[in-house]
Amino acid sequence: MRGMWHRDTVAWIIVAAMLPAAVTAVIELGPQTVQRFGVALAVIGFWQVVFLFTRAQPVSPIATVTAAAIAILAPGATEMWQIVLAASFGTVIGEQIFGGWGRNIVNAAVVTLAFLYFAFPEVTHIGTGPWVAAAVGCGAVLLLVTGVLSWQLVVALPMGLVLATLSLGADPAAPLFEGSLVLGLVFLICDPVASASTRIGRWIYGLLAGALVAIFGWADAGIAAPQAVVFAALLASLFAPLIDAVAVAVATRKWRRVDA
Amino acid sequence: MKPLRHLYGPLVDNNPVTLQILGICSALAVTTSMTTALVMSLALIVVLVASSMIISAIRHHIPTSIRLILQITIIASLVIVADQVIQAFAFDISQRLSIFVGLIVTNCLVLGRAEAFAMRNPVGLSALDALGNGLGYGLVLLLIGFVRELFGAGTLFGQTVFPTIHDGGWFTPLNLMLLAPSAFFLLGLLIWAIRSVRPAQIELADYEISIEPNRRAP
Repeated sequence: MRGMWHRDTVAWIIVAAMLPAAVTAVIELGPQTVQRFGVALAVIGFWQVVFLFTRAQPVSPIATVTAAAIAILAPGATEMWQIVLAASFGTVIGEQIFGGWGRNIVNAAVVTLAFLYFAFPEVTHIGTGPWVAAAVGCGAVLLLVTGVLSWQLVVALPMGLVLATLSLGADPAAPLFEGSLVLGLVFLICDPVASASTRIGRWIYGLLAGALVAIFGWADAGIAAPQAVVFAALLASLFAPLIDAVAVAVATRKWRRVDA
Repeated sequence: MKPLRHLYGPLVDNNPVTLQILGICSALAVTTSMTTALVMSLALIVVLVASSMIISAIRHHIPTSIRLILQITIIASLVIVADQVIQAFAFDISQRLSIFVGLIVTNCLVLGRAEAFAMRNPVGLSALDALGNGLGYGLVLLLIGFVRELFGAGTLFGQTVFPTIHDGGWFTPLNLMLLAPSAFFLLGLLIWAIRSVRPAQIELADYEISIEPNRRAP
């Protein structure tokens, strides 16, 4: 089994985990979802090939996951040129200029979706229901078993979400039945690249991201709307490097004290 | 030929905005339309050229210990004059530029040229250098203003180019273009483009990650 674990193994596992959620979302949102997915995948694939030839950055199957997340979390985007523009922006500025998938700071799908929400605020996006949430749960189990999804995040994220929801005086069980929200939690916020990667850092990151989802959801966009989880993912992943740096600094300081 | 280098050098090769990354604040704020970008550029060019010439003319009489106070006093006086002129003859645009003409005082570009060039060069050269830097700043502002106004509102200098769907045309305005982040993205893309064409402008990396060719992730 030596040499089996490289970048694209992880990417293929995430693709497999996305499959049940994608199928359920197509049934729920209609065949237009497939069209959005196809357009987004073609655009991302095009840019991956451009960067393959100009900068020798290998292409990655993660494009499928990014395209699926875009298709499911932006169901109001009926004009395909909007998706072409946003996906180009997201994949180039969010991922490719950093050196391709694995070196990015923010998730490409998050950048694309934030672009769509900001640039075309007149479009309304609806969330998906409990069936998608259940399908995402199946995928999450696969990710958890293979270790792609860290268990610290799986514990800390709902903790932050429930605590912030309770302190806002809302129903803590409601977010569990929102398909878009759960999909965003698993595939955008817990993205192994964009989330924090130290052990303590993951706890802090999870609590922060969960609280942000609750605040954006209950106080602004509505917990069912996909906006809340996307903006929370954007903000939290920008803090992830800082959280990791603090965690590393604290840990090394502790080592030095033991040495002395 | 040599003195003219001070004029065309700052246009691309040593551009104050895209190479020295100065004057970013105003470059982001006033580029939502071509008109404001043009007026802002003109105001900056006038202030920059005049202040550079004045400071250069009296450079032998400026005591080193209080030179910054003197430079700021001269620049601030000129900015007040420019602001009053714009308010008197183009009140409408002055309202849209809000505080940013006044903020030319704090623009690092103006003080930078005064401190780095006008303090140790004759009047003629200082004027050329100031004009070149002002034109370089204006060039970037107009470029970004062009893209932002055209795609954000479908107009150029307030004249309709793409009829928007609100007026019965076909063009959907990109609201993002009128928000401040888009100016950052456009400026970043512009810097990327310039540095792709002129690799000499690329800064040295602070550090590099070296990976053995046969290494696999654990």
